[in-house]
Amino acid sequence: MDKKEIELAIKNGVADKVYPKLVRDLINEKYSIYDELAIQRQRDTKPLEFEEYNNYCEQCKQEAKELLNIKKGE
Amino acid sequence: MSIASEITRLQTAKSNIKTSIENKGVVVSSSDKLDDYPSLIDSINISTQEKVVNPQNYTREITPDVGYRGLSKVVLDGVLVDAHDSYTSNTDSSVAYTKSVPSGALKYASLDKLGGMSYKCLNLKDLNYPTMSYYRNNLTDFNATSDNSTTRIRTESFAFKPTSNKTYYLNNIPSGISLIGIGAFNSNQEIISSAFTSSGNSFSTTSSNVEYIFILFGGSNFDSNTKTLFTQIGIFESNNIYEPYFEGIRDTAITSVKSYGANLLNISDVAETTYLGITYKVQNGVIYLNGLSQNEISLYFTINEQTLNGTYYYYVEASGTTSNTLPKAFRKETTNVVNLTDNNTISVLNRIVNRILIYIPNATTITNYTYKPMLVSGSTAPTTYYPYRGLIETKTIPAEVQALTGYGWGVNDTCYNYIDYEAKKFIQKVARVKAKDLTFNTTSVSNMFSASDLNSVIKIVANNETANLLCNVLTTTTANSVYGKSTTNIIGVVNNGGIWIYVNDNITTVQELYNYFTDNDYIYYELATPIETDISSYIDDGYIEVEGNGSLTFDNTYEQAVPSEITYLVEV
Repeated sequence: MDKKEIELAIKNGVADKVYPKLVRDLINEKYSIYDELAIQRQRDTKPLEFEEYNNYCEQCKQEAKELLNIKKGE
Repeated sequence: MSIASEITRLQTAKSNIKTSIENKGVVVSSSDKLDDYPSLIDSINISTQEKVVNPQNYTREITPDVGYRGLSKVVLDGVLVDAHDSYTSNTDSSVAYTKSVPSGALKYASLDKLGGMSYKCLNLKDLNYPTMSYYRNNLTDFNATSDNSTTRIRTESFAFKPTSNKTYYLNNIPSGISLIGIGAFNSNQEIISSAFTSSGNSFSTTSSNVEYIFILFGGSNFDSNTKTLFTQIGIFESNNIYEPYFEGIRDTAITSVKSYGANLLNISDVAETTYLGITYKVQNGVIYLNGLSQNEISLYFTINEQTLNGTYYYYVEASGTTSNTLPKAFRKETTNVVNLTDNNTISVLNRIVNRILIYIPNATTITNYTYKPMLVSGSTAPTTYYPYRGLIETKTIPAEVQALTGYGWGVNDTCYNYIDYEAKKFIQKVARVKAKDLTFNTTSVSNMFSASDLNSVIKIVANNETANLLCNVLTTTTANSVYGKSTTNIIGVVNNGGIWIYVNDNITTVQELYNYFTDNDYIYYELATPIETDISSYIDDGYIEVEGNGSLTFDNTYEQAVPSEITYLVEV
């Protein structure tokens, strides 16, 4: 999602509905879908890599909430 | 085989069977005899499990629960609806006077860019009476005016210098009248015989000496009143178009943006009425009918008067029953304009409508019939009914912005001045200069002239590229083509920023070139560095309320197409 789409979503009151898409787009900036599948598959054998990926996903969720003006806990 | 070896073989087999049984989760004690082994084998758990799981967006293993040996079936419960794709953005960057709002568009759209466009007249010569004089005459003498023919009529002679081998079109010739031929004269007003060939409404010449022409039309029984037929004929470079002639260049500046609802039909309310057995009323655009008709009935319902011109979709949501089909039509008063078929397209050519007719045959039983009609532009069926809204919002461009230098100017679809709502700036990419204000010089190429006034500001292109230029009396081409005098009336930008012009071989001096231009002749050009003006104190956030299947109109004086960029959020 670009800045225009985010602003339009906020203006149209659908920020919560596009939140998953924005999170996905932010994650995809660093990890492709194949990267994610590989990390998940090797979750037990490469725990540090998984932790780094999981932390990044959590950051993306927080960033998406901030971009969409979604309050914490929502 | 000895007995000892047989005993060994049996002991080994028993041991292996014991291991196999134990591998399948059953304990075999060392005291269990071979006779006990069948019951131990029977106790092996071979039960399998069926599982129902929800699909997820990550990889995981599905394993049987404790007590089961395996899975006999895995059922994916339902479909994962990916909420990520509930909405998508849709940006319309077309150049248009009116744009359709996409179906499913959410309430607010974003005005990203609003641009201007400059147009030169496509009509090379209006042949309108009485501005243009007509004579009943088949003589070819220059300025002859004797009035002696009833089947031929000609225009007065006028200055017109066609490009040789180029086809021109006389558009809007009245019905019953045809193009007979073109008379041609050179600069000395001497006749050039057979200069033109014509076919249908088109004509062309191979001569490069034509300076004046008249046009000869054929028909029958022309009299002094027939001249009034000769309005709105023009000479164009394309067929089947018309616009009135205007001098110079028209700048198309957006004065406001208007958003309209999808439904074009506004049916006036009618209080409940009973007529010949049928009770009817109209409320909020919905027509209600009930009863048994005692005769043929024509019910006229008033709608907002409007001109229909094009293709529309007539969408209907109806409930209840009728024992006969109820024909319907749009009418202007009682004159039929177009018959209507529910949920189908109609095509109308420039007709006014102000009523919708519903015809009820005699002895028709109607039971709680609810009829919700909607009319939308285009041929695509809407997915839902919209009540009539008409004008939803008007966003007026502030006067301070409209007053900025260059507002409304544009050379083509990619080079124009515009309001950037996101940056809150007015971006000027196009400037202009009066042709007469340039300092022209002769060049080494005869009849080709140059000007270097714009060298430091104009966007430079290669000599084989066409620059973004617009001049109402010259056609933009490459510098190489101007150098080669590929055709007449051409202008190009050189790779050092200079302007090259070639009009024709009759213009040989700078003074003659200046005489060629009028005060209305401008050259619009692309700036090397666009000028940005902060307009944040004048414009708002650039959102406008829209309705899916509705429309946006970019108001301007001449109702011409302008560039704009609008982004919608559309429900998928």
